[in-house]
Amino acid sequence: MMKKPREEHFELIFVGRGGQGVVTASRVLAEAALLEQKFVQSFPEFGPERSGAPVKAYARVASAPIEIRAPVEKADATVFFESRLTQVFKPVDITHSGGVVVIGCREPSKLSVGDGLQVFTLDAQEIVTSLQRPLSLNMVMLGAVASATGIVSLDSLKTAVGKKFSPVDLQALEQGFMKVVKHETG
Amino acid sequence: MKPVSVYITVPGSSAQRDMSGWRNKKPVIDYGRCTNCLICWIFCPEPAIIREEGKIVIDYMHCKGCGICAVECPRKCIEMVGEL
Amino acid sequence: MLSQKLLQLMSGNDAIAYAVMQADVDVVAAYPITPQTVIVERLSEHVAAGRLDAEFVPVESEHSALSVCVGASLVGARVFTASASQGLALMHEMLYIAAGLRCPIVMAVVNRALSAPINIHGDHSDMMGSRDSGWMQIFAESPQQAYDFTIMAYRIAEDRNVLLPVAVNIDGFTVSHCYEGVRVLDKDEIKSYLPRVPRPRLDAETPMTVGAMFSPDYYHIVKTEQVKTLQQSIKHFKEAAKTYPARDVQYDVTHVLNPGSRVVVVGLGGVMGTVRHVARNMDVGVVSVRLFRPFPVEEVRQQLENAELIVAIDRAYSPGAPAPPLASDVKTILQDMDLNIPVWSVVCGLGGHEVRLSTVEKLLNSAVEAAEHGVKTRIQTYITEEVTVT
Repeated sequence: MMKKPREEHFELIFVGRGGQGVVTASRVLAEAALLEQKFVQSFPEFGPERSGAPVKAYARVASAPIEIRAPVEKADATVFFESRLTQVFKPVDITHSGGVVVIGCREPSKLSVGDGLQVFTLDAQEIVTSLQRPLSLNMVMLGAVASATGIVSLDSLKTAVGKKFSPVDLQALEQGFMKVVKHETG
Repeated sequence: MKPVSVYITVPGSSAQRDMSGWRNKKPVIDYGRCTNCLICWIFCPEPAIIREEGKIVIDYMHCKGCGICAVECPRKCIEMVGEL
Repeated sequence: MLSQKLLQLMSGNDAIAYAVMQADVDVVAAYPITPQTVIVERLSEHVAAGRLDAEFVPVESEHSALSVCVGASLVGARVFTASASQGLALMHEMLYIAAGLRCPIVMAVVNRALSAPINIHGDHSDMMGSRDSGWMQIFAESPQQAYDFTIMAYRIAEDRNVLLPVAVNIDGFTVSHCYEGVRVLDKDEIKSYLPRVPRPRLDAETPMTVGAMFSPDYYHIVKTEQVKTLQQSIKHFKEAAKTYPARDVQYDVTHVLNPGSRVVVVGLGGVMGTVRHVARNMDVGVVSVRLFRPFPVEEVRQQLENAELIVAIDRAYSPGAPAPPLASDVKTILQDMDLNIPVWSVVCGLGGHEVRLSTVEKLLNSAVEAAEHGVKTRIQTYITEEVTVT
């Protein structure tokens, strides 16, 4: 399942809803990559910062200084906190062909994502419910994207999360990392 | 340390400016009738009336000739005298 | 290449607040406004936690914020304020007073659009509205530069031969809310870089008058001296850059990519990073102006004189003017050089409007094509997906 990033300049888009920790997820990923001595950038889509509204956050991880200050138009990896959001932002529109799409999804068999993408899924809601911690959804998704892309190691993420968050967040991170699976039909 | 020119480093330097040119009449006190009541000293809008030992004198370098002292004097012993 | 090991993840706002704390300022007077708020919040936390021994004055308006700074600066304190947009507009009259009274205040301006219509997002309209207030104006493109230029700003402002306020500009949101690795200096490095230099100040022992009325006979003398000082402060920026303790960067008044190219793009702020990203593998030169006031005329002139087409990128209009602010400066330089090089004046990113990579690519491609065909057309336009001139 582990994939090496295609390029030295790797771009991600996190898609979720205001209040789900989308921006925090992007920032923690950047912090973890910084621990691995990579060049990083993390910023939200500016504007619709309202609870419940679909929001995007971006992250860049590179082996050279990042100068670009534009939003990511098409990412190497996109992360959808819930499957409903794939209808708001179509994965094929915001992901490079051949790129990774990670979707928090209860019924993967009903997903229709489009061709030419590597799709990964996990029941993120089930994980946070079992942990009795709905606010850790972003940690589950972070673990999942790390597993699906290999852009940062689980250890670096754990260090970054451990600095500021609770032990349950670490569990959520690990479970997301373990439970994400490749979606076979694409 | 040389100060920049927007700062005025000599305190009270405005007191050295000669304002007598603003005047076309000057107040003259009739000391024979003046009781040194200090009403003119109170009303003068410039510090141009100065208290000296037992009497008041006019600082003609700063007096602008407004005539308020002459109007306010209860004994009318200040006269505004034309100047060339 | 610098090691990423010692870096901290910081937003542009975090980086400025951290720099101000390390600069050991004595007085902070600021009023929070989006997108600058985080700077004020962080500084109040630093003061409350005892990390910064400063007087934090929670004023009731930006006009008062800068008034407090002027007073504190005149008694010799090292002071800081920050604002944006409507807040900077409310400070407007105090900006001229701070510059005229030669107060070495450092202010972060987190550039944001001006109402109406109301908009909280980034563009340069706020600083361009205060362009002629007599402040030094630096534009940082990244959180790292925001940190470095804030530290440098105190060195320049407090130089006995400058004594002028300095505005450090960062783009609202795209830099202020963008997290990147930032290398911070250590305490001792900053202490020796920012010595407490004695300067004329209000003091009961040696009284002086500050803020007196100046008659026409004297006003123009003081103003001309102030403007000359501002113009020659370019060399103090260079000195501050040269002696800056970070070993991995060397700043200058401009940053130049691909010198000697046929097409040269000139601009300010974060958008220039995107332009460089696109231009890196093209025959396109990119001149990022870091010090906007005083304008580095000589440095920009050198980059323009052999160009065949110049693209001047502004993030603000100058309504009714012959050209937007930066394009105006560029055209003035060309006129003074007797050069008849076509200038494309492109305004972009108003009110936070995204300047996409694909849009910049199209703009640069059509500029290169126009230069190849010797097209002399001048254009003034707002950036769109289809900038083509034939």
